[in-house]
Amino acid sequence: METLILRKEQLPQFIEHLRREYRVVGPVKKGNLVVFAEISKAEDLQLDYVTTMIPPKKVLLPQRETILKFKFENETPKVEQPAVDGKIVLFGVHPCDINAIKVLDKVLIEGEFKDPYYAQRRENTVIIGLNCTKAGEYCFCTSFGTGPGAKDGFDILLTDLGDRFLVEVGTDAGKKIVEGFKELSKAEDADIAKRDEILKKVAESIKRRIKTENLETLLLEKINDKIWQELADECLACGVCTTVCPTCFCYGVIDRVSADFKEGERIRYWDSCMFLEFAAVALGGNFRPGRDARLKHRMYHKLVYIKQQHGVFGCVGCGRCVEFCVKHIDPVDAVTRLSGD
Amino acid sequence: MANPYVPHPAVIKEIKTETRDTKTFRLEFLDENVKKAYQFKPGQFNMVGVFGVGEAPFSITSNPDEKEYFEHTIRAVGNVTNTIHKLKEGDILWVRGPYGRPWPIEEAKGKNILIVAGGLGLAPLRPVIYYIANHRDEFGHVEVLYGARTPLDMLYRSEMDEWRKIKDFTLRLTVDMVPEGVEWEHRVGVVTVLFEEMDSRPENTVVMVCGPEIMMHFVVKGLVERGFAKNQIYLSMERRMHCGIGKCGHCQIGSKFVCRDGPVFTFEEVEPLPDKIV
Ligand SMILES: Cc1cc2nc3c(=O)[nH]c(=O)nc-3n(C[C@H](O)[C@H](O)[C@H](O)COP(=O)(O)OP(=O)(O)OC[C@H]3O[C@@H](n4cnc5c(N)ncnc54)[C@H](O)[C@@H]3O)c2cc1C
Ligand code: SF4
Ligand code: SF4
Ligand code: FES
Repeated sequence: METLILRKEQLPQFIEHLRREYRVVGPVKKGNLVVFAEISKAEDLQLDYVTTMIPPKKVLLPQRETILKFKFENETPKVEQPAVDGKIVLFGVHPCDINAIKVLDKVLIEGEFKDPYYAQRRENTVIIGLNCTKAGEYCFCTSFGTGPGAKDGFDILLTDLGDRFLVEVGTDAGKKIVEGFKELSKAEDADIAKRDEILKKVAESIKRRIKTENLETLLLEKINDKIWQELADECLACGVCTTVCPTCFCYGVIDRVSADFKEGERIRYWDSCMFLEFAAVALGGNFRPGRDARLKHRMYHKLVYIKQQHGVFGCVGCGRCVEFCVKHIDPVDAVTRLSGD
Repeated sequence: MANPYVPHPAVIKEIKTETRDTKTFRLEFLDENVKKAYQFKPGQFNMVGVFGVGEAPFSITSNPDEKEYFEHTIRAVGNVTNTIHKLKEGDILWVRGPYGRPWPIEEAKGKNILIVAGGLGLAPLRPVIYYIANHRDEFGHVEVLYGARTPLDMLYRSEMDEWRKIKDFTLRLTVDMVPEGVEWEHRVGVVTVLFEEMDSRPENTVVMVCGPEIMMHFVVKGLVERGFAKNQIYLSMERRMHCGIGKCGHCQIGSKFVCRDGPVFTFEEVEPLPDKIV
């Protein structure tokens, strides 16, 4: 892989370069939070952010989107497929979120059917990652090997080395971008050593850990443990944990019709297995009526089922579900207690 | 890129009232190419919808060898189903599919078949009965046990005389109760009472079960007690579905997507799963 150097004072030009072909979406400050939003210049970027509340998946799988439009013109309505927006650079994506997009790719693109909207956006999106130079209070990415440095899943990867960024190229699309920006210089061995040193320090600062060896066996053994009811007694079933989770993909579908009944839309929106109605069926049936069953389904989906479904952990250790939960319900704590450590 | 969320218009050719809350809709795709390409296997389902109201999964219940049309038997229980019930012949429904893992017809070839159905659960098994009638020599003895709440809740009663004419085919019926003034010459009791009189034995037999999950629970229990193995019993599971193609996550039971890995599973596959009754 090619490694280059982008000096910090070159960043505005680099963003300009990207904006010639792409809309650039990156971390920007909004009130007390940092959110992913479109930027028009490098100064908008907040590159020292730790974790956003809403993950960058919202660019690829919007919180609410129209999947079909229909017009009641005559007997048979006319159906239209909305077009997806053009080319996007997702700039400054941390390794946990890069790895989360890899999980979403597996769920939404692999298999017999592709989700056409996600797949098209994914094709139109260039990921410029940003390795972590500091960890957040709730991070535990080292448990899953999903941070603090990214190994793959990016087109370009940056590491902040102080006065410059180390630039690693991951794909042909990334190569094309750096080749079009002649101002980059070659990286020295010392730059790479500095990256490794930074990442090592960050990794060492992350003390929270889920032991992944035999995790599946442990959790399946403990599926009836009393801890689940204890956590459920705390849980408000508000669904914030799934909303902020970068790998949660579940959605619901609803039709909306205009007031004059001439046209309408089929809309999908982020749904949550924490909600009571999620597994409700006709005639009052519900297969996860209890909060314990729903909380357990969420945790097991992340830590066991996605692994069984797609061969990778569904948790990337970003810590969001813990940080933004009013009760700080924590998978690290749950697994630690279950394993008796 | 093919968009699997786009449904195809199908015209309602015929509506038959089955019970007080259930009707069978015969549908034909408007587009000739869609009609030609469409082929389902017994046990598969379609997503059927009305624009402005929504979509829901329904088993395909017609003869799989019939190329002109397909049928759904639909019970009115909520938004989509009540809207569909208000439609008339000549109206349009929007259909995409077929989806899901079918009944094990190939594995059942050369073997006996035992079908156990409760209530609306006969709908996904009707294509199996059609298939057996069309290809009678490919299977051994066939026995159908069917239970419903009352005689008035039984599906396809007008077709049962035809079924009884199929060679080496036994149909046994039971109802939970018989309302006053209704004629009934078969058993009374839950569907498992039919086990007492059934001929089917575990040897060389494939079992297909569909009905309310609580009914499947007792059926499977009775079958296992009678020596049937967990991997020779197939069940069709029902869960809430918003996509039908393994993306929306609604239909998950543990690590299984009912829409994609099922709806037909062996009991061996279902037994270890959480959040179920069966
Ligand atoms: C594989 C498969 C095959 C099926 N085959 C058939 C068949 O052949 N025939 C048939 O009649 N049915 C079949 N069903 C069942 C059928 O899909 C449901 O009856 C149908 O989805 C009901 O849709 P509806 O819009 O009419 O009901 P809805 O209006 O969706 O309501 C149904 C129930 O769902 C719950 N619910 C829905 N939305 C919410 C919400 N927002 N909040 C809380 N609760 C909610 C409620 O309990 C409500 O009573 C099948 C299901 C599956 C999975
Ligand atoms: S489960 Fe929690 S820690 Fe894991 S990826 Fe989702 S939000 Fe992050
Ligand atoms: S099942 Fe729950 S935890 Fe899993 S992806 Fe869906 S919403 Fe997230
Ligand atoms: S119905 Fe959407 S995943 Fe199964």
